Amino acid sequence: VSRLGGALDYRIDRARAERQWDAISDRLSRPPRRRARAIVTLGVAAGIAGLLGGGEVLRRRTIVASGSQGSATGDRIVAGPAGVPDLALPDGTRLTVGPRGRLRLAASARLRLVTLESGVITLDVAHDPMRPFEVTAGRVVVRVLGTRFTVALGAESGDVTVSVERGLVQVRRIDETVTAPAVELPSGATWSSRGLEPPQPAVDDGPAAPLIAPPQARPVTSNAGPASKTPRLKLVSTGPRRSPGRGSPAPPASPSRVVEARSEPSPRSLFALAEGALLAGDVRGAAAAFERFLRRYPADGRAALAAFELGKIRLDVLGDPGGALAAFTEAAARSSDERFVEHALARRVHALDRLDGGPRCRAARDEYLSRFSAGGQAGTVRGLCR
Amino acid sequence: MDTRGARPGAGDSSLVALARAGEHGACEVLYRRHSAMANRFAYRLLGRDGEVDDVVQDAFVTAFATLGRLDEGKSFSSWLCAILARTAMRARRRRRLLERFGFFQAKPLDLEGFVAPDASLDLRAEVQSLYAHMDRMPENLRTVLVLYRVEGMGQPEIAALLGVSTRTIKRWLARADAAVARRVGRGGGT
Repeated sequence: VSRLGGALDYRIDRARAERQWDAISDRLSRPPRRRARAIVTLGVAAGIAGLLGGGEVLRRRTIVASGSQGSATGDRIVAGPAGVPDLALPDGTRLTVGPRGRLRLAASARLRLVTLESGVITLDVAHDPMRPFEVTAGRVVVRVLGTRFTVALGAESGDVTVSVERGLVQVRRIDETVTAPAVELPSGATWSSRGLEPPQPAVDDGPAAPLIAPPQARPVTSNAGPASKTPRLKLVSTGPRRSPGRGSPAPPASPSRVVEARSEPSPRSLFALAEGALLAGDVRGAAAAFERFLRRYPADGRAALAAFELGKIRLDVLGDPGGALAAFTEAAARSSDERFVEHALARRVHALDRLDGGPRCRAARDEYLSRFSAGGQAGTVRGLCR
Repeated sequence: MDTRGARPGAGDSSLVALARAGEHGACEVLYRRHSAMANRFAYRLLGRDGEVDDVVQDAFVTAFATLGRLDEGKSFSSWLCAILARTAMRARRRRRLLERFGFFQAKPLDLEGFVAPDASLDLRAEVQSLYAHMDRMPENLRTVLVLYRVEGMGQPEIAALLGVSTRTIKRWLARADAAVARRVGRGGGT
């Protein structure tokens, strides 16, 4: 960059970068024509609904609610004494807000989010596997897996009650880490936060395979505890139950039924954690997170990449060619893309070269060269193991 | 490929291969690695903060959708810069057309907020003046001038980036310099 270019100090903050990625991701996941058609359809539907006065329609960021029932501006709803019955969201979700309920709505390419500030809401959520639906109420997050349910937030006590009428939801307490305990509520169940202890530390995964946990690895989060501290959350009452969407009755849940809490960061968040640590220069944290990712999600589509990145860190930074060898071998085995496999196998030869450059190295080199004689790494690999 | 001493996470070829194979996570990692550079580059090309998001999004979408055309051994970042340069040119042409028909009100140049705090007054004035002079130039001349004077690229590099010959770049630079000189001569441009 020239002297003039150096004078321009342009940066964007993390929130803006996230918005950019959301928009890019959204466009990548939808063919342009279909997207345009969806926008036109939505616009026409919104116009017709507005003309007919047939209820409230949520546009991208603006809510129109009738005055006697409450007011709504931007992405916020404030219900009046009568509440807001049956609000239709553009994704097909139906929302009912109880008297004097207050909430905020937000949506991105990857998540639909309702933040309940007070009152009671009932949601009939339209299923969208690409965009989970979450309700945050006080210190509780309810993740919806396709369902109709009610969330109540006590204005004074801050107690949260979740009642599932149909389907399945997942409830967890908000925690600083991504590994907050979660409990799944089946149809007919009611859960309350009243009297519950704060979330316990995350569950450890037990002994790890050699690839995943070399001796120098350390956990990403500092609050990981032993398996004996598995947190438990209790279903406090139950109602009539139906199995989701089938109509056949499910076995009744006992009021004393205790559901095992699970500590499951999503593959995406765990991978992002690893990549974020890498970008921030915390290579040991990144290695630990990639190891954890491979341990928890060995079948995920990103596993090959996680193994590859782990191998690079072990080889280039941690000085652990043995660990790197295992990781590159794993990366090559997990991918079916020839170019990626070529890179992984080339790196494998580098790791063996660093180990001792002996017969194993020569065998790996010859295997690579026989498979990728004209490959991009062939020139470098040919000079190894001497 | 010598991995010794390589920065962890360096080298995008494996990510590109995965992205080509349809792995969405690899696209995300590529975006996160290159977004700061892409935004900076787009801003220097445009000179306006308000247009950066659209150009960066368009460029990344184009890049990911056409990864199959990226030649083996070519750097993803150079390829992305080429797409950014073309996308920014297209965006500016479109905006000027809309302005001409009265559909768009051009926002003023937005440089002051992004000048480095330690930049001297002379340098600030020089940057402001260059962008002001360039603002009404034909897009090809303007882009070449930014790449040459602001980004500090060499003429062969610019030629490779824009997919034209070095002679063309020389000709465009000469015309751009002459246009700036004419504007400076009559004290216009701001």
